[in-house]
Formats: sequence, structure tokens, C-alpha cells
Amino acid sequence: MKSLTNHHPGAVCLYFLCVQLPIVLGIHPVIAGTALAAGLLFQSLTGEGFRLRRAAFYLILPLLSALVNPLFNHNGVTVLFFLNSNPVTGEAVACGAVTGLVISAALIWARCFSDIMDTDRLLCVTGALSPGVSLTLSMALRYVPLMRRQAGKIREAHRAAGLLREDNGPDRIRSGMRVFSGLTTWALENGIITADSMAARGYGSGKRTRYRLFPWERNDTLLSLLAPALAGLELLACLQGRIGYTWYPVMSSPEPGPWGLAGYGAFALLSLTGPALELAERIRWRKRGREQTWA
Amino acid sequence: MTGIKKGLRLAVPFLLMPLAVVGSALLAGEGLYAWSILLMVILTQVLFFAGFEKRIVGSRRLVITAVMTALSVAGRFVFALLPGFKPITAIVVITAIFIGGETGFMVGSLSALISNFFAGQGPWTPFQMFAWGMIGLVAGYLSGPLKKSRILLSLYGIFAGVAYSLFMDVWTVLWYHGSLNWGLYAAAVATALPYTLSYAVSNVVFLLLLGRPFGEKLERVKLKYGV
Repeated sequence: MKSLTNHHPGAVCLYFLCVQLPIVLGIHPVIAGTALAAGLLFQSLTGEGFRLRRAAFYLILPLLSALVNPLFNHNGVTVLFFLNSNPVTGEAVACGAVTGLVISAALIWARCFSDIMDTDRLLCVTGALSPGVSLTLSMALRYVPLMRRQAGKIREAHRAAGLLREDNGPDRIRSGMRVFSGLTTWALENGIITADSMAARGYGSGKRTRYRLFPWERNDTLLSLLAPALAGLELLACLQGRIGYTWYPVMSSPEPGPWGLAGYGAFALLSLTGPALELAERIRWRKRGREQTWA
Repeated sequence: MTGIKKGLRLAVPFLLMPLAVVGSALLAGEGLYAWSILLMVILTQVLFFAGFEKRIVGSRRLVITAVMTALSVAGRFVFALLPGFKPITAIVVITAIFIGGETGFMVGSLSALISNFFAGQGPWTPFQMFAWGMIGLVAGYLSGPLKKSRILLSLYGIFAGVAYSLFMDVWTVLWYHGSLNWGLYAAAVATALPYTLSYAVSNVVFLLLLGRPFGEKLERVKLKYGV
């Protein structure tokens, strides 16, 4: 057992893909609700922890969507009232709310994904696909903070020389351009030195190997078998017509039956796997810490 | 041989992409439309990256691509005092004109990715990567006239700003509605109007101010070091 964060980035990507697919492939209240709840739990365990304001945003989005959807969609039989001689239907309001729920769930899972996939992990995945692009990306990422620092130095020098004026818009643009121009010359020269240094050390002279930051272990194999299997079960139930939701003209959902129930269960298990792994790691960490203080 | 290669390079963005989009519109159900387009956008990028991978010879080209990408992102911080004023598009266009359309595509695409490390990643990232990449690629094809005339360069800046905004609105609507609803699209375009204007204006300002000095710097590096 290890936390999802400590899994191989490839397995992590696969897991998130498997969660996202069922969320976005249909507008379904149960799936979206499960995903949102699990996502909020996950979010509170990873990244910056639970933030009330952010959680509120994900809950307000469905409300907004419920208000907006009836303005553009006039399907459905339950007419609530007329707005500018267009009917506002109960179905459109409900469908809008659940659409908002789907969007919230997809966004919160995307947020968890970007919390876990830091630049090292991203480069590990892109490096397997394309080493050249990955190297470019990695160098550019390194240059950004370097350039910020250099821009600060240039700005100070310009200020000392009396070149920097930031009183009004045009002056700010002009001063900014001057700093930027100096930065560019420096960056290009610096880049050429880097390139020559790379060439001198034999870049491009033969096949390169990669330094592996993240080992692939048995847990990674397990996760990358489990996640597609669970997502597959849910999608299979969808294909069989056991999980689905019809919104117009009348809201209805099929009798789930054993297939449908298995599908819901599989999705709940799938979306809770990530938070559960994270929670287990946290508990283990606490326990280990306590043992250490006593020893 | 070079003819086939050139044909392929033109076919991927201008033939394969629209075909895939129309195809997915016909084949996929309503709810799947946004996702099939997202998939297509990612696939196109993968194709480009694969092409880039094959064509990098030597380290200088690669480093210049990385430097220009980082500059376009670092520009955000240099001009932090002026909100909404970002030089990314201008730098992508200038790189494309002076170094080549494919390098322009890479710089645009990677700038969007890296810039979102600071601004927030999401399902819109592939779309931004694609939009900025295409702005670079098209500028590369038009490099002759754009290099000569400042008026055409400004017009291209306006075009890039408006096209970028319109394209991202398509994504907003697809993302929300699952398929393209024209009423919603008009609403999205209307709400985005101030942004569209600020994109277009800042593109023109940056292109006019940066075009010549950046061009000279890039030409100088090309001449001095033979990139």
C-alpha cells in the first residue's frame, strides 16, 4: 500500500482518466453526486486541504447552471411559468442543476489531478512520449524563475539609471518594454551558451537513457488493472441501458437491476480509491510518528 | 520526398483536424461531442510533438524554443502592473515569423501549458495550447508579408486576438452544453467582448513595439551562431 501521490505518474494519469470518463459521459445525478462528494473529500486530503470558499464555489455552480439553462432550453412538459413568452420548464431547471453538478465534479477532479501531478511527474509522463519536447518543457520551466530574477535585476539597474518610470500607462509600457528587451538579449545569449555546453557534453550524439525518479511497482500494476476494470463495469452498465437518465420531455431513469447496481457500486469504489489511499497513508504516517516519539 | 513531407505538414492541421471535428459531430452523440473534440485537439498536438521530436537536430534549436517559451511566460510578470496585458501572442507570432511556423507552434503550445502552471490548469488547457499553437503556425506560413509590412502585422495581431477569443468561447459553450448552441455561443461571445478587445489591442501594441527589436535580436542570433 502507498498513497496515490506516491504511485507512478503513468498509473496516476490512468486512474484520473478512468474517473473522469464516467463523470463526463452522461448527465446523471447519482454519478455526478458521488463524484463530487468523493472529489471534495479527495481535495481536502491533498493539496492545500479543505477550503470553504472553494468548496462553496463547486456547490454554487449547479445553482447558477439551474438558473441559466431554462433561458436557452425550452424542452420538457412541466411548465413552471413563462418568461418573455418562452416557457420555463421544471425539466430544464433540473437538467441545468445536474449539468452544473457534472461540471463541478469534473473541475474538482481536474483540480486534484493538477495538485498531484507536479512538474516532475508531468515530465516523467511526457518524457516517455517524447524526450525532445519533454526536455524543451523542462528547460522552459527552469528559465521562467531565472528570468523573473534577471528581470528584477534589470529593473533595479534601470531605476538607478533613471530610466524606469511607472506613473501612468504609456510610461509603464515603455519602461516594461525596455526591461523586456534587455531580458531577451540576455536570455538568448545565455541560451546559446547552454546549447553549446549541451553539445560539448555530447547531447544528440547517441541514444540517451533516462533517469527514473519514479519506480513502477506492484501497486502501480494493481491500480492500472483495477481502475479500468471498475470504469469498464460502469460504462458497460451504461451501454446496457441500466445507468442513464432521460431529461426531455419527461424525466425518467431506467430500473437499475443487478447490472446497474454493480455499475454504481463500481464507480463509488473507483472514485473513493484515491481518497482512501491518501487517508490510509496519512493514518500510517501518524502512527509511525507516534511510535518514533515513544521509542 | 520533401514534397510528401510538406503535404503532410499542411494536411494535418488543415484537413485532418476539420475532418475529425465534423466526423465526431456526425458519429458521436450530443454529450460526447465536447469530449471527442477535446480528444482530437490533444491528438493533433501529439502529432505535432512527434514531428518536432524528429526534426530537432542539434541543441540550439531546442534551446531557442525553450528560451522563447520562457520569455513569453516571464512577460506576464514583467508587465504585471498592467492587468490583461500579456505578450504571449506577440512573442509566438514573432518567433514563428523569424524562426519558422513549427517552432511557433511549439512555443505557443508550450507557453499555454507553462503559463497555466501559474494561472491554473484545467480541461481548457489543451484548447489554449491548440489555439496559441495554430496562431504561431499560421504566422509561420505568412512570414514573408508579415515581415515586410507593419500594417499587416497589426492586422494579424487583431485577427489572432479575435480568433483566439472566439475559439475559446466555442470551448466554453461545448463544455457547458455538450454541443454547440448558437444562443449560448452569442451570449458567451458578448460577455467575452471586453477580453476580446483587450487581447486585440495588447497584441497590436506588443507586435508593433516588439516586432522590430525582437526580429533584430533573433536575426542576430541566427547570423552569429547559425541556428
